[in-house]
Amino acid sequence: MRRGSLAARLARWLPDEIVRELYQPSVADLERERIDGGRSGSRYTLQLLALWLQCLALAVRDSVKRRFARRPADIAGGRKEFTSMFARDLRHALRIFRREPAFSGAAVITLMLGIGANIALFAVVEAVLLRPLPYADSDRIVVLRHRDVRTGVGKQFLALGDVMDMRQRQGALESLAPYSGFQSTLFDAPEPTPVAGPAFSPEMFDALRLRPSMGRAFNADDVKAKAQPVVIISHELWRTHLGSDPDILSRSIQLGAARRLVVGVLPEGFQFPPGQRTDAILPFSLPAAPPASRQAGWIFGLGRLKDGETVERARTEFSALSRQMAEEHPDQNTGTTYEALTLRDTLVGDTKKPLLLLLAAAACVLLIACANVGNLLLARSLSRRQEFAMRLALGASRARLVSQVLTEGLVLAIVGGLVGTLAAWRLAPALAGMVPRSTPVPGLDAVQINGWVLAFALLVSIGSALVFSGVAIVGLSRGGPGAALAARRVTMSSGARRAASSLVAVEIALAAVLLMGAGLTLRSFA
Amino acid sequence: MPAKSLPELTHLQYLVLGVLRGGEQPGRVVRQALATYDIRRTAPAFYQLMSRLEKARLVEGWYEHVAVKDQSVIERRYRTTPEGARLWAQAHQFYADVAKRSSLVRWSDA
Repeated sequence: MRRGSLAARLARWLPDEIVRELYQPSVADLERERIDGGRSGSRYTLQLLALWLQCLALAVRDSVKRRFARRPADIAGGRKEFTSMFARDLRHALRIFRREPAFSGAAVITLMLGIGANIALFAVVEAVLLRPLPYADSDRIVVLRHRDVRTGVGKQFLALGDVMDMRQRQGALESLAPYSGFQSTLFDAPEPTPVAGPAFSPEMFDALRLRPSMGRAFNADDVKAKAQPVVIISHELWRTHLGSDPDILSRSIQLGAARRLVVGVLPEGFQFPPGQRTDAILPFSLPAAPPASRQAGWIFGLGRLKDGETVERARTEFSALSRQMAEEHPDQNTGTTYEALTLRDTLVGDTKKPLLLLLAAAACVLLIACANVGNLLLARSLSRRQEFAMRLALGASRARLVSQVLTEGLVLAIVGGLVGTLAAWRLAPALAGMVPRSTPVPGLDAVQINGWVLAFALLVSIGSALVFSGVAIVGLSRGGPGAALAARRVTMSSGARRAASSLVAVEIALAAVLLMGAGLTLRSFA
Repeated sequence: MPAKSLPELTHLQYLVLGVLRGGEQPGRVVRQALATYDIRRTAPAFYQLMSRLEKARLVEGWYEHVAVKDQSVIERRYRTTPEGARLWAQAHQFYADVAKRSSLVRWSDA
């Protein structure tokens, strides 16, 4: 490094050892690359700065490692000491919880409302938005939707002619599989039974990675013009209406006007789309050539993304194909665009936004609850000011007092969380019933308090404890123990006063946000 | 005689010492050799690794002035120490032995 150069000036800000061992050889290599590659000065300067930052980060990391490196015996001892300290704090917190039932009850009820609302809503969000759909790699399944550019209205129906063209031209999906639905009557049961379900093209089985539990999926021969009519029945239909016949695959059943050979039985519980009746699946065939009137029929279409493809790329491709078809058929396709959405987005539809909005509102309610409990703790800390001062005078560190306040908060929050979970257990299914659904939303019927929801409840409880205990900690006297012990009147310290005022301001702000949100929501329904 | 104890070298140390086995090399070249095995380190992180190897007395490093396009630049060069070479040979023997025995011995009978 030349003296006075930028590299040398930067080196002054690094420890000598780092300069000698890391920075100097790295700068030498950079210099060599600059000469070899004829790099511009500005790029060299940027690389030099990046290199200096990397050295600085390594220096900080090493210093932190050295600072906190402890011998295993120290670590074991520290762990034991921490455990025993926590156990003492916990016992003390439980004693206080029992000693002041009115205070504890008020705090627990407040927290129950806040935490319970959050758990109940999270249970719904988990069931609808987070739980995987019952198909393999469902995130890679893409549904094609049609949108009218002029009105902005989007529908799942696709024009038959367009689907046939897009099947040939698209490259983002393994295949664009068309499907539709059917309703019919089963006459082979003891009494005529209405049946409903989808009609699948053979590609649908690959797209959904669906394998019948008995028999086979449809193949290309099943959808030929004069093929023998076939059907795949649901496990439930096989069991309840066809007597679990083990020789079902060699039987034909009368479905509507046609007698169909049963070629497969679906896995137990299979439904497509999720939550909709799937008593049987019929084969779906396309005409040999696109009809002259491209909108002669309306069907659905989905596909599985090829390896390495993304939903965004599929969206771009179908958008380009839409423009192409609008140019080829201006009389029929102008103003029509096709877009690709993940299966979940299609199924969840408009339910996603209100759900997340409600969860955000519940979070506001929890914050208000935390502010209220924080205020209660703050008021209580006044009456315990002398107790804390005495402990400080006897040699307790401020960290010990903070740890005790935190443990007391944790006990309140965990009890509040437990009661809130019990409330949510009844509330969550009721909430799910209130979610507006224009189409069946997957998961809404399966809302429950499962492991994920319990983990969320624990997290929220601990988070709440940290928030409202934090308020109480701010209220701890900053003055020495002498002043608190000598004080005859119990008055708030300046820190506590500031904390109390801030809490009131935060509560008013959150309440205003909630009120405005509720008002806007009501207005949107009006 | 098969090598019974596990090698004392990490995979990365084994690789670096393996690169230096052919003779002394500039740090820049060793770093490029690691990149061919998809081990990409920033220059400071790489020289930190080399510095640790130096402190463990497995390699020795020194600066040398070289002329590049009529300009004189320095570079850090490295070579293995006898201890580094010994540990590399021991590790190599271990891996070679495992590879050989895995094709000849049924472990249940061993």
